[in-house]
Amino acid sequence: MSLAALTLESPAALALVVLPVLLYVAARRYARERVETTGTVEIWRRVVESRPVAAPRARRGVPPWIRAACVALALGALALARPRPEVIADDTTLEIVVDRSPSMYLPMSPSGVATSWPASSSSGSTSSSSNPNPNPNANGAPARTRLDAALDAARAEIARRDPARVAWIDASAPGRREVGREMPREFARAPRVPRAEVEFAAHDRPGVLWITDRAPAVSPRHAGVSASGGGPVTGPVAARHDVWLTWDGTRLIERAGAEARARVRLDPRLPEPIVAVARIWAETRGVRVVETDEDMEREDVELDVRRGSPGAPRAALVGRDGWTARATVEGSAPTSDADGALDPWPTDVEGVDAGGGEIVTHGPGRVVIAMASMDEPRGDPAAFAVSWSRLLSQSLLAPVGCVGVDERADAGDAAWIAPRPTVARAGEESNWTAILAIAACVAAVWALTLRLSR
Amino acid sequence: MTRSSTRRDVPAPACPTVRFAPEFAARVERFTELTRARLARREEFGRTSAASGGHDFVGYRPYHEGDDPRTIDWAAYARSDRPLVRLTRREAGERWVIVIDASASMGVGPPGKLQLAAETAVALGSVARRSGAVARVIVPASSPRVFDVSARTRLADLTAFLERVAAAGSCSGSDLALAPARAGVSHAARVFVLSDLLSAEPGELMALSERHRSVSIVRVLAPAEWDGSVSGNSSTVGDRVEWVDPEQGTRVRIDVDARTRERYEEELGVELERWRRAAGRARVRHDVHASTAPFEDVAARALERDS
Repeated sequence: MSLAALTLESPAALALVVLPVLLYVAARRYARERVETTGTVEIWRRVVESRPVAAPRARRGVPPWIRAACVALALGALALARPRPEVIADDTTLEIVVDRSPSMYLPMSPSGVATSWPASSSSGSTSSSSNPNPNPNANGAPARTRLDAALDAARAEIARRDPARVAWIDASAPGRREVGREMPREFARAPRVPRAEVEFAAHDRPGVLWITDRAPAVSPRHAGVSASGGGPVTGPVAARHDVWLTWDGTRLIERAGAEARARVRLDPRLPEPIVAVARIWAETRGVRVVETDEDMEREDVELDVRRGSPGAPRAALVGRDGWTARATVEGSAPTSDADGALDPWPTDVEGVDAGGGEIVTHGPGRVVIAMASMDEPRGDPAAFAVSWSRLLSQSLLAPVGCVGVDERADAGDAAWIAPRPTVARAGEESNWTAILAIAACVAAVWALTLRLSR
Repeated sequence: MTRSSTRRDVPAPACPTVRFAPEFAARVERFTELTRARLARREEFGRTSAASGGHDFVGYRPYHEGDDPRTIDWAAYARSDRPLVRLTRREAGERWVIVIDASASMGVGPPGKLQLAAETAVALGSVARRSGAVARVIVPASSPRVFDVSARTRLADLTAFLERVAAAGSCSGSDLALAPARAGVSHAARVFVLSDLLSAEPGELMALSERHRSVSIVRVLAPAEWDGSVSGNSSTVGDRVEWVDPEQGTRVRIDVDARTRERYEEELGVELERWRRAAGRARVRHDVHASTAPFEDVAARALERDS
């Protein structure tokens, strides 16, 4: 560890330093030499001749006791500011917090210069395999993204670190840390479920570097920033049936294209009534149902409706929104997966959820159902269809390649702020404050003594 | 920290003039009565010893309220039907000289030294008047101002005379010593010198001492001159003072603190001791008073003949 500087726990107290300054200025102002008439000048002259001449500094006019009082006040103000030495820890770990919002995977272009992504979207059709995969490293995705640019700017900072002292953190999932000089491969792919903009303020601490595209409006106090900047990126922002809703840089326009249709994959083990409703819903919404024999990963569809984890079967009466049905529940539906948290979709009528877990959970791009079979629902048949259709629509992602207008907007200029080194407190028991306080008291006593001895 | 110099722009002293308070006349009258009674007792003692060569009878004067009734000559009263007091040679027709230093340094204060000197002079003049003596008040200057006090003199005239005196100019020790002679009084039985004596040497004043003459030197010092303190000036916070002699314009700069004040008092003590020894050798009374002292005390001490 090494001493770098002093930090102030209460810097506002430094404003009190103005008090001794004012006192000294006032003393200088009023410490004029007094002129007194006396008949005993001759005796005073003898006094002068009989004592040694004082040092030149004693000629300034401000009485010593006021000078001592100024010192006491200044020391007191410093003590109230509670200074602590900053000690830099030699075992600094660079924590790189990566913004994985959709804008980070847009192509890099100079600020103010518009570009288009996916490149073919402007003509209403996407790239090969009818699927504009957002992965920037595959399927014709942009060669250099805002993420790449931000990382390039941080290369030098990262390169001078011990690989074991570099940690990568997904800003949207800060609990996970990957150690190494290279960014985890997973981070190079846009998350299947779009991430919200990062609250970087939660990561404003020494030894942290933010990787993002837009420089924060307010510079962090401690963290460093590598912002790629980048110009606006035109392209689709939403799709419905065979129509792309595309942003051309200034306005939204509709363009026809079969590839605009989203895809849903239905687990064949799902209860038949649910599958039947899902197919009707897909046909109505213009969503293409991906058959199980198609070689397609879960990440490639906009909605994955699947079975939950296996477990002991149990009978349950399920229902909501005006329908009920007898069902066999196996295992439970998880409340989170690789894409994040899953919300319960309460269907339990008899209260079995309390002991056996959730029966249905859902999140963006996925619905998980723990039912192995289901009888025909009772009640209004339309209620069953509407209830499930609402769930599916709510969970359906925008087609791949769709990025919101706010994400596509100009990200401004690139920015770089080096991260402050990690600071280790020199112990809460730092005695600088106590030393200053004692010194202030000594100076005050000194001032009082001088004043009384006049 | 210190420096001596002389400049032209000498500030005026703080209390250069004399003003008598309305109750001053009553105080003087009371003081005179008490003092006269005390002196009369001393004369009685003297008369008792006259058989062995005491004071000679020289005449009568009218009895005044406050006189010791024992001094009334009852035989003369029977003859003239008026109360008459016997006068001895020592008392009657005695010439007193009261010399008041009115140099600029006497204006230092407050309270002003000249004020106390003037009040004391009035008190002495009143006692002289009541005693049948003739007193001459002299203010030495290039053209000395003189005021005679006798039994017929009104004290109001004396106070008016003194209120026209202002502390200004300089006055040396020889000016004080030669003042009686210059004012035409060569054989004064009593000489009072009221001064701060700051421009005088003991030898100059001791020359006043003659046989059959009582000399009383009253030194008046302002409070600041007494202890080296600085008169209050709330607009300043420093200790640095430039002392200025209002007569010579001499200046001394010094930081006044406890140590320098202590040294000042030591030096002043040395100076006063020098005067005390000289006065003792010359059988001259030498008293030192602060200008805050009541004039009754100052005058009473000055009237004590034997130091």
